This record gives sequence, structure tokens and C-alpha cells, in this order.
Amino acid sequence: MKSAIFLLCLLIPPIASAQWGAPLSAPVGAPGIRRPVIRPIILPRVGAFEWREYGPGHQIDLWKDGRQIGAYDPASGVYRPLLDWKTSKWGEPCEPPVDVPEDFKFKATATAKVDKIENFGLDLSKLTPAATPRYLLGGKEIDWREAYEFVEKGLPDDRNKLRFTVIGTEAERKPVWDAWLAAENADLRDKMLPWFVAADHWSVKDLGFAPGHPAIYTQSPDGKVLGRAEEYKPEVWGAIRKAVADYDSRRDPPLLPPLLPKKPDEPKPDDKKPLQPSPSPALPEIPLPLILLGGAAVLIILLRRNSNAPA
Amino acid sequence: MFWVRLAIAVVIFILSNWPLMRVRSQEFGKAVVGGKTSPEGTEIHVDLPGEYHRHNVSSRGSGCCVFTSIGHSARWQDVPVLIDFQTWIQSKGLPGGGYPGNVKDRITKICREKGVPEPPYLQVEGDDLDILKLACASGRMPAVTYSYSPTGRYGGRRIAHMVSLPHIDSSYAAVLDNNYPGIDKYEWLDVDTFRKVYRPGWAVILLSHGPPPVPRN
Repeated sequence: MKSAIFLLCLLIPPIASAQWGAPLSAPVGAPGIRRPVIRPIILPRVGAFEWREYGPGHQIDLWKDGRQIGAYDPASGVYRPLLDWKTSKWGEPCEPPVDVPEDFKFKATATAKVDKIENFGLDLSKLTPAATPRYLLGGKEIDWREAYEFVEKGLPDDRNKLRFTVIGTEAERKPVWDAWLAAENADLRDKMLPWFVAADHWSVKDLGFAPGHPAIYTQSPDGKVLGRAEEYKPEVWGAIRKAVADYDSRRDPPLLPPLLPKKPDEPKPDDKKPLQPSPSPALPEIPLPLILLGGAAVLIILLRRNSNAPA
Repeated sequence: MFWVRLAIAVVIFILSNWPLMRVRSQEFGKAVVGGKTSPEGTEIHVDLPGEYHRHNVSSRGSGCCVFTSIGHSARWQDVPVLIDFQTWIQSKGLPGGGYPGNVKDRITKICREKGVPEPPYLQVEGDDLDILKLACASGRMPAVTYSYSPTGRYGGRRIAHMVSLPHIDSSYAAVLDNNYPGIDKYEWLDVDTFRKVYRPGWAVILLSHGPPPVPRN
């Protein structure tokens, strides 16, 4: 009997923390995530309803009569009803049928502390998570294809541009800068990205750039030096123009994997479609006292058999 | 017999607590604090020197993480007007607390005040990670929202924060947190974990180019 009680006590920690239940459901707005198996913490019931928490950073699930009926994201204040867990069909954001526990309610304020969420500078009252991604260029909404092109190419297109780097004092750089801006060098400005800095600038210091007065570099996009000068003379533009003309990016040996492939003609998987969370599958509900009783009975039977065995 | 029972008890204890012991590592995958290389040994995309890492500040009681993160991007991508964005916010007595609308308004205001054209920039709302990967791979450093630190910073609490993203590829993302600046304090997360903490999903990407690559023959 004492052994049974002792063994039963070992089982109290996992039982007392109520870490039983269904696997974690994916956060609202993030379909297709691998779901780790986390036991939820079941919060106090509200009538027939029950909220389940899976730890910080996760949504809380709403259950009723042994089935999940919705999920609430504390970070955004969005609740979605689960219309059909077998097909992962979720409804549009709406009010939950029962109050969200106070500790998890989304607090719309820009003050430093927002109950459980410590705020370091986001105005959450003005930040509503987008059901589908939005792209804003200078405040104006643009299509995702344009957004990808702008990031990949820059504004203007700089993906395949050569580098023109001038390193020296301000007095040494100035005549080069003035010539760079001159009308006759407009063709070079279309093909090259300028970078005019002092020798002790973080972007060039101790990185292999040789000194000069100023030092003038032309490089391919991956860093290969196409030409270098240790001082400025007007003749340098002819040499730069020749290096630019001779350069063909198709001859570059690949050093790194290519940038992400462009998919301008393929539809974005979530285009115009709200992001759908994945549901938790329902597991049969066994009352906790019954589990404890069953476990204790098994232990007692085993120990009694042991003590009754002939010597 | 006592020792046999004790051994059985230990085994039962371990088995019954095993799921709990595994929860933390399963919950958020791999996440470590480290330097300029990922756990796989990949070098960070954006290597902003440590002396230019800025600590977050507050203005009129609200944090300036958004403007500090944009300042990091501006330093890397040579956008002088926005390098001291956080200081400008404080000097004007503007409250901290950023969102897409006031980022747009404040960029317009600071550029008008300094008499320079507005730099090109993109704001992305939603959880599109591909555009962040594209930005980092093309030499840019986005500023991104951040809702939780899987390495245990902030005592495991949920946060509303914006940080810099100096690296993201198919395996790992690195976070430069302006509450923890320093080249040995990058938070490296696997991409699945980053997706979960990139909440509520908002990025600011300056579009000008970064510095030239290291020269080679």
C-alpha cells in the first residue's frame, strides 16, 4: 500500500499541471506549419466552453462539448470560428461566443506595458495583421509582383550593376564626384552603383581595399576587381568605360546560389485567400479522476500480487 | 526489492514527464544567441559593425524600436537622412510607437525638414518571408516585427517589438535586437520559428543598395 501511494505521488506533477489533451493547433494566419505536440493548459470553464492555452506566443483554442470550435490570437485580437476541423475550414474573423480570458485579451494601446505583452515601440492599436500580404511603396499599395521586382532590382534596377567605389578624403573624392555627375558620364551612371567614402569608413576599412589618393575601384556585382587606380586623372573615365564594356556577367563563375527565382507569372498561393489555420484533431475526453483511479487500481493490484507471491 | 521498486518508480517518473521535458525544444525549434555565423556555419548576409548597433530608446513614454531598426537599415544602405531617425523622433518630442502610417508620415517630414528627396522604401504587411529572403540576399536589411524571443529573452513574455533582420535563408534567420545590440548577440532562429515570432507581420525595407562587396581578383 505504501509503495502504491509512493508511486502515485510520482505521477502527480504531470497530472496536476493538466498537461493532457490534443496536439497544438497552428497559429491563426499561418497555414501548413508543422505542429509540435504540446499539452495545453486548460483554463477555467465558462459554461460549456473551455479555452486551452499552449504557452506564450501561441493562439488559444476554444472548445465546446469535446470539440474545438475556434481559435483566438492574443497578439492580434483575431478570433476565427472553426467551421469543419476535418477539412480545416475556418470562418472569417468574428467575435468569439464567449469572453476571452482577461490575461489573453488583445490590448490596443501604445503604452510601454500592455498587460502580458511588453511593448517596445509598436502602436498595436494601428497594426492589424493582414489576412493576405500587402505591399506599400511609399505608402501606395502595389501588386506583389511589383514589390518583388523592386526588392530584387532596387529602385532603379541595380541587380546587375557594376560597383564604382572611390575611397579617400573629401578633397580627393570631390573632383571624382563632380565628374561622375557630369552629363558625359550619364552612361556610366546607368550601369554602375557609386560608393564614395573615406578610407576609415566601416564599409571599406580593413576589407582589402588598397589605399590611394583617392583609390578608385570598379568591381563586378560579386566583388571581382575589374580595374583599380591609385589616383584620379581624367583619363580614368576611358579606362572605366572600357572595363564596363568588356564586362559580361554571363562569364562570371558562380560563387553563391542565385537570388530567389522570380515567379511573376505564378499566382501567390495565398493571393486573395485568407490565411487558414490548422485545427487540433479532437481526442476522446476521459475525466481526470477516472484516470487517477484506474492508475491507482493497477498499481495496487500489481503490488498485492507481488506481496502474495510464495517466497 | 526496495531497489527494484525504486528503479521502477524512477522509470515511471521519467516516462510520465518526458512530454513536458520535450515541450520547450519542440515549441520553438532551434534558437541560439551567437555571432556572425549561423549554427550551420553560414556567414551573416548583413554584417553591420558593432559600433553602429544602436540601443532602443523611448520618446514620450513609448519605445522607438521601429525607428531604431530603420536607422540600422539606413546605416547599412547609406541613407543618411534616416540614420539618426530615433534621435530625430526624440528631438521633435514625438511619441514613439510605430505603425505603417506614421512611418510614412515621419519619413516625409524628416526628409522635407532636411531638404532631401524621400528615399525609396517598401512596407510589407503579412507573413511573406520570401520577400524578406530576397531583401537580405540582395544586400538589404529589413526591419521586422517580433513577438517573442525563443532564446528566453524578456523572461519568456510576449513582446511587441521591431528588430533588424540581417540574415534569412531557407534554414536560419538572424535577429539584431535593438534591446540587445552587439555582434555577439545575434539571435539565430530556424526559419519555422522565425515565422511564428514574426508577428503581427510588418516589415520596412529600404530599397537603396548596400555597400560594395569585399574586393577579390
